[in-house]
Amino acid sequence: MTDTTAEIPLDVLDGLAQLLTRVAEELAFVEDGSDAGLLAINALLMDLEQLPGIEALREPYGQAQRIARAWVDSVLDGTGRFSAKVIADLQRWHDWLNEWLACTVAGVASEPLPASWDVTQSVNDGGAASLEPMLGVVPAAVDPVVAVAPVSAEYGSEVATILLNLPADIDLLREFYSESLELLQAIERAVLTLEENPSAAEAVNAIFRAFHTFKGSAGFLKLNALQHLAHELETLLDSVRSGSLAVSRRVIDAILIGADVLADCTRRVGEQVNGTQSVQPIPLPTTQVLALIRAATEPEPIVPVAPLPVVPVSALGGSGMHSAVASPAVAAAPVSKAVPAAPAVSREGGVGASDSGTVRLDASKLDDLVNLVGELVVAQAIVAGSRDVRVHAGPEFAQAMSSLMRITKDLQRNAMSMRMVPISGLFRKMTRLVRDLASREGKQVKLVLQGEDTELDRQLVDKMGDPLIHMIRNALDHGIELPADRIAAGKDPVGTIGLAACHEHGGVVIRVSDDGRGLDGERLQAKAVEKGLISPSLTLSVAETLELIFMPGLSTAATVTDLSGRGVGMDVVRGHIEALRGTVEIESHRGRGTTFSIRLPLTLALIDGLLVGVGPERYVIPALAVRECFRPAKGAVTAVHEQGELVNVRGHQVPVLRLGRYLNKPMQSLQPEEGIMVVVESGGAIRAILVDEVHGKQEMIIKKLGHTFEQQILIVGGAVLADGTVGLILNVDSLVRAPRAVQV
Amino acid sequence: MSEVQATRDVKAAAGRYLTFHLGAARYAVPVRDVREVVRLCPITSVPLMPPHVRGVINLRGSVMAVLDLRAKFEMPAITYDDRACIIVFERRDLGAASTVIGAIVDGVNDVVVLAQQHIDVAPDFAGTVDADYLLGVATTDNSVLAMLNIKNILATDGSLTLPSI
Repeated sequence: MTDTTAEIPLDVLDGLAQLLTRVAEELAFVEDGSDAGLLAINALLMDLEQLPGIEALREPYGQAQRIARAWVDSVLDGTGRFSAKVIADLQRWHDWLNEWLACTVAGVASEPLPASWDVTQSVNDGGAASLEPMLGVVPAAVDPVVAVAPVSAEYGSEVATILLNLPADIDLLREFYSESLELLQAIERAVLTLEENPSAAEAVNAIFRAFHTFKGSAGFLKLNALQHLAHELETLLDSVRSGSLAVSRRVIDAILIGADVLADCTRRVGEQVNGTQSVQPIPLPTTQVLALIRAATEPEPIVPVAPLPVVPVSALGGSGMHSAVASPAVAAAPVSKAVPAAPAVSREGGVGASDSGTVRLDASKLDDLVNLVGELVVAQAIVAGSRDVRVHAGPEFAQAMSSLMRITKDLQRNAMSMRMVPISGLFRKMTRLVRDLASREGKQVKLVLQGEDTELDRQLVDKMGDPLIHMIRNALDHGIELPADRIAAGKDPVGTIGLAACHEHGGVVIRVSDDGRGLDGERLQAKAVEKGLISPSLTLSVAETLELIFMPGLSTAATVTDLSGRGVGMDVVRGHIEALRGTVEIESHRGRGTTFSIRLPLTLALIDGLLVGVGPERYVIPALAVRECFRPAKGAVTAVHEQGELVNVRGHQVPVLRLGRYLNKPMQSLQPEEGIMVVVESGGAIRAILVDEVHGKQEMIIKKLGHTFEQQILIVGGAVLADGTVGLILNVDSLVRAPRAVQV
Repeated sequence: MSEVQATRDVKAAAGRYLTFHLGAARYAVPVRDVREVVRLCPITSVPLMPPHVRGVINLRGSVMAVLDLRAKFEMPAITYDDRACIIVFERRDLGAASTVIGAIVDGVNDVVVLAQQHIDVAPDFAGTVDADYLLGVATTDNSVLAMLNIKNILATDGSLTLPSI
């Protein structure tokens, strides 16, 4: 293995790979004699030319870039349309560059540029040179200092180095090198086991022993920085071994990254011992690794230091190795600042397979797959619904179509299931949290888990961590009483916190319950009045009183403790959950406890939507929030003074919202009985939405509307409908809280 | 780096520009900011947005916002004919992930190369022009092109008044 790859930051290669993919996508649509895709390819080339760090790439990359520029320029300056030759050239160029990229990543020599691509001739034609000053920049010979110390370039001054005393220690170092290779392999094997079974004591011991040996050898050779690092890793493992630290994702990450740094260091030692590199200081990004180790040992991981955008495909945590940690995609992500650059030895690409039958892959690849499958479903619906097809279609076509539909459906189900992970990992974290908090508070609490196997979207599991931690803290801090108080109240001195998950109404419900003192509605109200959040004259129902807990700036704990009352309140929790298109409901009985029910969609990518019509417009209402739909009888809607319109739904008067009027769009149904009522519920509030038509329910892929509509609270996203247009997904939460129309 | 960026922002550089028209007025935008040009297609209007935000379209499976440049420049609305296009611009000012945004124009003309001698970088419009939105004015073959700083125009939320050139 040569040293070339280590000089190129991973994000440059990753950026290059992404741009190349986009070039390929555009090339697929290019046609002889047409200008389709010309501007896009031109812009992509410009992106390539200005990709930060691209200067670091060695020749012949620069030549390849210039030749493509020359071709595209000649098209732009000439006919403005692609010719067959340019298309063929660009395709070959793309293939060549892809190959070159793969070789560069792997650190092997690549094919030279085809001789027929005469760079010098093409570059000199026309005004190309005056256009892009960057074009003329040829990557100069790589600075030798940078070449030997890429890690230090990345970490600035926070890098310790070790210097080998080669003349004196050559034999010992040679031994150290081969021993280290074995140790690293042992660590790798043990981590695989650990990822599948976090309680595997033997694996923990094996890693501990390996780091311990490393430390000993490094100390013997007076490689202080290395010794220090190995010591910290050993200490981390010791905490795990003694049971004071649970094996979490972050612990495993810290081990992997530590092992990567050791591996990189070992490799460099090997090069110097074998004489392929001259003796020079070997940099170790110790500060970074130590920060990760410290982060891993912190008791409550509220904000993960370096969340890995890597999804375990297998049920419990997958079993990849550090190739996934070190994948270029991770290095390119903004969060990965804390993850040290991947040493060349572990860079095998984005996907690492192991022999246990599971694969780790980049979450974004999975998202792409799910998106593509979704588009396939839409495209299929467009074909099936096309007038051209329906006119000519016979029974044979119908049969073929139904077979295709079945396959697409299976494919979609399969793709979706890959994103699903059981909630057990999240629940297990809470076990530890409860134990720690209870002992600190002097309370006796047992945590009862239910439905840990319930599966939901990995993204949801990741994002539910913070809200759940907060709610459990609240339950422990405000809910569960001290043992003496519990005995006095005739309760079991050991309090119970329940954490349950199950599937309900096509979504997931997570319930956090405690058997503590329950919420004090009067105190909540008094507090809200005292803080000026509500008017003292307001009369509230019991449910509305409890809802006050979600108001910003309200904390009912009499004393601000270490646990809660830190300014993060239930309003933030609700915000979190609503951002996931979920709702949270509260139920509480004085003296008997409180239950929060969090309803979440199964996935963030798909929505089960009710397609409704308002005049010519169509909107999507998330089906999860829909209780029922009905056509109101004549006279069922009554106008009440200062309350707006109300409709009788199963004996309850429910406020009506005329969707057209609310969205300022014309509606066909002037009378309520001409339209359809869609009863929706969110956060305990209920509304009957009057629409012209209900077109049916379907599964849709949610697309973000983007920056332009950031302030738009009525719409949560868009979905591509069967006819290829975009339908807007309404925000049920803003619908149920919309001000009631006073005049009718 | 930021200094270089700033100079480039206010100065119209020679180079390749895509030209389009709104009514009789012709405009030029740097080709670099243009991702593609697509035909006008059905637009889903988004409620409660300012008039220059026309709505969203499905651009090969993703949802893209579409602005109405006439409304943005406070020009009278017209019924667009089949020459009307949506120019897909790439916004790079929104962080790492670049975003595309569409703008409806009456019609796209061609891609031209503007040399420095054609460009009047800081024309004096007697204080009427916000220099933030105009890179300069180019004169070619008896026609005058307003060179737009499309980046700043797209980054501004409200509508703008551009002078007639």
